[in-house]
Amino acid sequence: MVKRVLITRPNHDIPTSYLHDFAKELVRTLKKSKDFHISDLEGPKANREMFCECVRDENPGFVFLNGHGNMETVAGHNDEVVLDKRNSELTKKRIIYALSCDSLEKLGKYCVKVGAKVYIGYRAKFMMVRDPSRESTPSKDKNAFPFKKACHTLLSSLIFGRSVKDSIETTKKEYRNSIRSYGSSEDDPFGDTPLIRFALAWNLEFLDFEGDSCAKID
Amino acid sequence: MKGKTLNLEESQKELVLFRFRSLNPESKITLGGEGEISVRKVIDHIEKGDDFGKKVIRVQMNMLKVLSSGVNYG
Repeated sequence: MVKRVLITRPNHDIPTSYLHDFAKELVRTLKKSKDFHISDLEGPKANREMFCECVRDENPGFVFLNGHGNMETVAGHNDEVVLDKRNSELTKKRIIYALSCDSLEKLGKYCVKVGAKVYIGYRAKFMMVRDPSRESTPSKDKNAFPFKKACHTLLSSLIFGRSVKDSIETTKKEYRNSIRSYGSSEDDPFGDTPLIRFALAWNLEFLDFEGDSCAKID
Repeated sequence: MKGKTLNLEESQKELVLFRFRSLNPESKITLGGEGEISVRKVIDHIEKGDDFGKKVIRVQMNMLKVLSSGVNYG
């Protein structure tokens, strides 16, 4: 059976351009695969209307939201809110992963209360350390690499059939490995290593989920 | 002269402040959609002991545990 995936990928400022880059490889992989059907709401398409329409029409089992967030909302293009309490019924019977700040704490809990299988997200801000000289080319930003890697680990694990609990544990392990190994063999001309380690430790601390730990993407 | 006795919480705060004060105060961390926060501001939060500052101390202490529990010492 084909697994249906919906991704929102705004790309209107520097932080969203990094998240957009993080998801690029996943989108490429899924588009090539016959086992997945992907709805890719990229750039201006990552708006509330298209999000709601796409969830209703495509019925994705997995929804991956990228964008700015707070405790009660996750946004898309130009910070338009795509998910909040008012349309949270759209998350029913689905696995949601919000790569955004804070949303797990209230919105995540609420979505699970109204029927989402699982809501994965962060209980605080999502932190990252960028190389300012690479802001126009996030894919070449070496500082962003360990954050991207952790994001990939979680997505790959979920996409290829592991449970939410396993996927979170694997990702936390990846964060720990990066904290231990980052900067040990790399050039660090700006002395960013201690901050990068701290930001990784922050994300490790606050990545979590609400809902069924045994859930898998179907 | 008697040394000042610090409780665990104060000791951790001092340790974390010491580590952040050794960094470039203008270095920045991206905080999602809220833009960036400089090391100088992080230090302010720790000194004030507000919610963010307390989280920073907790995370930094857990990070030290991760670093000391692994085989790679960077």
